[in-house]
Amino acid sequence: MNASSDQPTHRSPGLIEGTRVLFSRELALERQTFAWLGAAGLLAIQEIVIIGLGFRDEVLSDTRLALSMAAIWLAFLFAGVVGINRSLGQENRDGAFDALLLMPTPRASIYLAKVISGTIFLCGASLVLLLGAGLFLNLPVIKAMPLLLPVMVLSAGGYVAIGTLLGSAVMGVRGREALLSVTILPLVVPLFLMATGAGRDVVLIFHEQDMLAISGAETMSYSETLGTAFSDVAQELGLLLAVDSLYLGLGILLYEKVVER
Amino acid sequence: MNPVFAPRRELFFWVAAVLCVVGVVGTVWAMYYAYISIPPHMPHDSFFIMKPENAAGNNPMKLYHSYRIFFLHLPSAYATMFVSLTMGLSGILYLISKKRHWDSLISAATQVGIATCLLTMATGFFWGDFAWGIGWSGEPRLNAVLVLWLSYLALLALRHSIPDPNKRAQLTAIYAILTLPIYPFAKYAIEIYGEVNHPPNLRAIIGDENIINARSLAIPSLISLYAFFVVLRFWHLEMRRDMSRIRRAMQELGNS
Repeated sequence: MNASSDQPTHRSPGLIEGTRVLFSRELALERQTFAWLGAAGLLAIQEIVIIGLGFRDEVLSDTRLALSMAAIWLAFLFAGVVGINRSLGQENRDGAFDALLLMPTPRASIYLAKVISGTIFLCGASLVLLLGAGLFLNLPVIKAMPLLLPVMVLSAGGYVAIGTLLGSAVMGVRGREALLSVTILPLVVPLFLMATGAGRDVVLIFHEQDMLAISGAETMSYSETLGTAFSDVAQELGLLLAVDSLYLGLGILLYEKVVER
Repeated sequence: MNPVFAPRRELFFWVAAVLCVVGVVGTVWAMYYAYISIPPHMPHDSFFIMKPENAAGNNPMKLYHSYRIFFLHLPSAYATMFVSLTMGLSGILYLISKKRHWDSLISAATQVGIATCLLTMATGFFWGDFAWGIGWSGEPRLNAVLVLWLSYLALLALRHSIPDPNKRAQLTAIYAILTLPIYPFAKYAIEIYGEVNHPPNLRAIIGDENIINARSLAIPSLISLYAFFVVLRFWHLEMRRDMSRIRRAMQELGNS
């Protein structure tokens, strides 16, 4: 046995292992700082309360319902920007991000860990948002949850994928927070065009069934309503998935260039 | 540090000259043909004669000449597509080669893209207001084109916020690549959503041979004109970069 074989061998973690390790780090960071759920979740609830105040004298018509859903997506958008800004701002302030780049993991694993954790946290904030909307805006979101959740998860995935990429790009740039909002919004509008349409259609179908039940007319069963709503939004869900895959693919390819020092 | 653009000036002069001549002559010819020469002779079931219920008045003749605005609208939309492609491809080429002229090309294309996109939206708005009774109907394609325009403005905002030229070029290239999927989205928004006022394809609804000829002349001519503006702006940016290099070199020489 020669001398070199006695030395301990160090194997750099691969993409999946690196992502797993860094994902645990993101969870630990969130437990300590509440950067996402604290800021984004609270902001979401406050926005819902204010929207509820605006609609307090309005009867629950189709127009009000569509407007409320648009307002929910606006709250989701703001919550996402605040969450991404806070979580990446924290890394930048402590200089932790430079240390992160020294880790012997592929750079894409940093990106993937941030995207997965950010999506989970934004979904958490969205859940708070939807429950708040059910409570304060009297929308049938609880019944529509099995379909609203996939729409939220897919929207959050694409949004965080592009947000993390741009957030890392503008890290350390003057006026970073305003710049992130300005640059991210045009890129996520295609995502939101599909998500707003799908969300509104799902809630409208459940609202129609509620109105029919109140008037004593014959209604569809819950599973039939779900099936009808799903067939209405299946195309949008597919497109959301396609846009998510595109943004995630671009993110993985470009992240190395974004964080290049 | 040597100027890098100066040796290629002659090539760019000829490229710019050809684009300028083709663009100006072709555009004047196309506009003459489209606005003066073609008689307003449209079949009665044409898209341009059809009168939607919400439009002002009931006289179909009111829409008679309005189709002529499309000889500006359509080439501007195609030019926006080329600008979008130029930006995305230049972004990819910059990331591969790190050559700064790709950055100048992205910047030049973005600035011209802001104008072409605005012209597309403005001409569409005027016609929609006249024909449909509503300028901005909020359809997915209109929103997508607006988003594309906003993304060009966002790219310029990003550029102006970063003082370090290397980082600026890097992030500009990345953002330009990210804006690339917006144009196909705008293009296929009608197919995705369906049932909108905006026609998916003008070729299918214009049957008149004169209009097809004018359209075939206007599109390449106006695109050449816009390409000339891109080359001119690119030239200006490259010369400015060379000048700042020369100024820096002279300062260094003076200091030593």
